[in-house]
Amino acid sequence: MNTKPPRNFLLLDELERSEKGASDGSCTYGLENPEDDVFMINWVGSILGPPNTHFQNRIYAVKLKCGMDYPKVPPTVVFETKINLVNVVKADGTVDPKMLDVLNKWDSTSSHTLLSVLMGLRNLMAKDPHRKAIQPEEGTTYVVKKTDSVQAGR
Amino acid sequence: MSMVSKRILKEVDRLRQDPVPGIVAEPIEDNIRYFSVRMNGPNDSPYADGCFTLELYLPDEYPMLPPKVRFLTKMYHPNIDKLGRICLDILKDKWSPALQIRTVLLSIQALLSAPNPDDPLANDVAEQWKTDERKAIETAVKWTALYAERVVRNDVAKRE
Amino acid sequence: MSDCHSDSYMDEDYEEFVYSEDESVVSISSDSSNHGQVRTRAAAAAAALATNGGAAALQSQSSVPAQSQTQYSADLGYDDEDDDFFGDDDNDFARAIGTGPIKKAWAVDFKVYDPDGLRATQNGTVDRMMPLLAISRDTTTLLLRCYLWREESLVEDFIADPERTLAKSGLSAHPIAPRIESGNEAFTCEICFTSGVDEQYLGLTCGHCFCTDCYATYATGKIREGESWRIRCPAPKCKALLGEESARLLLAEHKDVLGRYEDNLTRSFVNDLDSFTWCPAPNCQYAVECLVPRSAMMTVIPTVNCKCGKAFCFGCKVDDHMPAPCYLVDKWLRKCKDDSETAHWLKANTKECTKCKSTIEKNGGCNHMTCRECQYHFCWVCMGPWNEHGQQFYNCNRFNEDSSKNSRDSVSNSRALLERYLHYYTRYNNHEQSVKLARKLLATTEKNMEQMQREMTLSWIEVQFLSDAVDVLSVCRTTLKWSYVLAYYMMSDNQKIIFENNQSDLEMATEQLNELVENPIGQMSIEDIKRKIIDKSTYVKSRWETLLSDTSLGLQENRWQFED
Repeated sequence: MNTKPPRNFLLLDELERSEKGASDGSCTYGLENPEDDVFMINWVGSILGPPNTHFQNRIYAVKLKCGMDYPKVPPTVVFETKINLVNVVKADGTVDPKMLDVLNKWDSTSSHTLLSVLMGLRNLMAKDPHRKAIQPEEGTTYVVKKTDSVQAGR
Repeated sequence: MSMVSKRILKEVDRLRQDPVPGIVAEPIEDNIRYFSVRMNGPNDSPYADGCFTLELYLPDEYPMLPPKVRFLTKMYHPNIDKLGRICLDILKDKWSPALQIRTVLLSIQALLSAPNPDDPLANDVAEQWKTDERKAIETAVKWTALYAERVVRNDVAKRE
Repeated sequence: MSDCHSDSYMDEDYEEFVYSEDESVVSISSDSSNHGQVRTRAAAAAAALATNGGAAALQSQSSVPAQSQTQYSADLGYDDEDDDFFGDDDNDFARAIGTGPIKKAWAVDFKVYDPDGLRATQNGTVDRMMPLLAISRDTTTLLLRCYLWREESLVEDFIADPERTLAKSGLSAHPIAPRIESGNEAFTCEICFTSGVDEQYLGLTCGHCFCTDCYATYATGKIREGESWRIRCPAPKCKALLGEESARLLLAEHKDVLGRYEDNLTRSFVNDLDSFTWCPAPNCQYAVECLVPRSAMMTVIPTVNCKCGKAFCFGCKVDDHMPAPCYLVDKWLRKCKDDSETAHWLKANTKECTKCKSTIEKNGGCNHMTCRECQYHFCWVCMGPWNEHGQQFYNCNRFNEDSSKNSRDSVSNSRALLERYLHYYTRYNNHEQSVKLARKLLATTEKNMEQMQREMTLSWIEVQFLSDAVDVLSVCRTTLKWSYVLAYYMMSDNQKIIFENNQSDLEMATEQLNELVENPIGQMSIEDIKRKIIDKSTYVKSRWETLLSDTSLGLQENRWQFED
């Protein structure tokens, strides 16, 4: 018999951790629209570029989406800030889940969280060959597609 | 584990055999620790005409730790925030392992009748409640009509 | 105890007991076997201070066990004659170390306790209160804890209305000794819903019974969270407290949890009492008792010495900061933090020789610098030529208000204020760095001592004077460091000039001793060096005592005006 914490309470825990400032500040996240997203689907995150890389001192904005089948299905991740992370981030800013270990080996029973997704991306930035990749002009963003806000039934 | 499961099974059993008036709690899908709750607003409150949905989860350490509960219906209440999280002492430091799902739900229902704007979770709502209670209650009634399911009561006629 | 507290409990409902256990304090290892003998302490401590003008009013309420404690008074422990302070006169708070019958003006009375001593003190108080209240030991202990060990208000309340006093704390006058029961067919545990004759259960005076398994799990959870005597009956909103007897009964099988429970009790005792504090040194398990009330800390600096060697202020837990009182220390440290960017450049340990511009790094505590390149002698602090700092003239501790006034006319006021701050900060920081260097110096000194022992076949005792001198240096530099904080906030008047004269005397003497210690082996014979260093140390000590006596009396007499 299943006794695992259900999706909503997992995400509430995630939210609480971010509200209490669980991370070291290099990655932060929160609900995109806390006023009106009772199912906690749309999240925003930010990653501070790691030191000694071309990402250094830049802040990368990311959108994460946790569908109703989270955590069975990992979140989708899209960069808002333009970034050059070859093979990982596609031309429209979406992260290829196959190229990010956290997402590729996503296991709903393990302790994978939104924070670990952001940290995973940050770790990639710090590694070769990405470390020294020339980055787009600071502050440029991908063309924003209108977020189709998921309206789950009340 | 077996001890706790036994308690949960008993609680579920009792809830079924002897339901609390105006409250229905049922396990969701196959998860014995996860409940869907429907709660009628208390009679003498701005929430009287609504039936509200909540979800409740019993963590592994239950009953040594309290259940996790939140409203899924949007609520206008100083102690309930935009995500439905509830500020209630027995869900936090005043939890007692001798409390049950039943008592927790009754306490939440009581909180609807007796909002406590001095210990707010939703600051803007609490502020409104303190400065203009009449208007706050009006808004609560409006939200109830807008977001909650309508309750058909036997005593509606009597009240009117 | 203090008046502001004695009534407050009256009006409080039990719910308002604050959960004050602090996770950060060191845990105490213990066994519970130690029941110290207890005698009542006379108000000797108060008397001792009263003879010093009576400014530091001490409270005279406490009892002390006859063992497991060490008594000190703050004298930084380097005096050497007739100081049998580890001795057996354990009824009183000790007088200043090594000062014989005369107590130093700045010294406060205090006691150091190890975990056994703390337990003995608690037991002692309980032993003394039991016959007075005529209730069980367990109940007496709980009542005392509920009253945060304020014996007088407990006795007062209890005599006025024993039933109410007990009920308020969820206790009853004649509880039946806690017992694990079974064989009750009607029993159902409200936690696990198990029932039947086989179930073992326990209930407190409130009558709420739960099975021993659930009860123990519940208590264990609370103890892991750091709680001890504030654990209550698991029934909703029940105020009954789980006494020590019941806890020991429940946890008899769980020795580790029980140990944690005892630790928590002791920790809560120290945290609940204003007159006790944990030594702030990492991993130190001692606690210090000091009866200087908060209200006196504007003028008294309660410096205490833990058995572990740490000298700290009982009031604010900062390392020894005599002669500056806590509120100025707090202000200064916050200011330094705010101004750290501006002052940052000062922290750099290098300066240029004013003569030949080569870079100089200070590698010793002495301010008398000699440029390696051009042999120029100068003062590290003011960068002026050293020969102006001779025996008769030493003036670089004083901020020249006149020249700063001139500069106020020419440059902006804020610039002048910054300069004033930097003047004091430079000197403060310099002594701080020198204390650190003194530690390095000690290592070198010890090497020198070994060398001396070998070359001149001196015994260890005979060369001890060097490390003693380094100790004196550290203590004096610490005092000098904080004396600049006092001076920074002190308004200029004739009283300040007197203070600065004392400060200057101590600073000059300290620098001279530092120089002697750093370059001891020259043409002089070992006997000469030894005599010179011992003489100078004695002189420095006397300057140090003068400064501290003078400032502590001055603070108590409100001799100085401080800017706010």
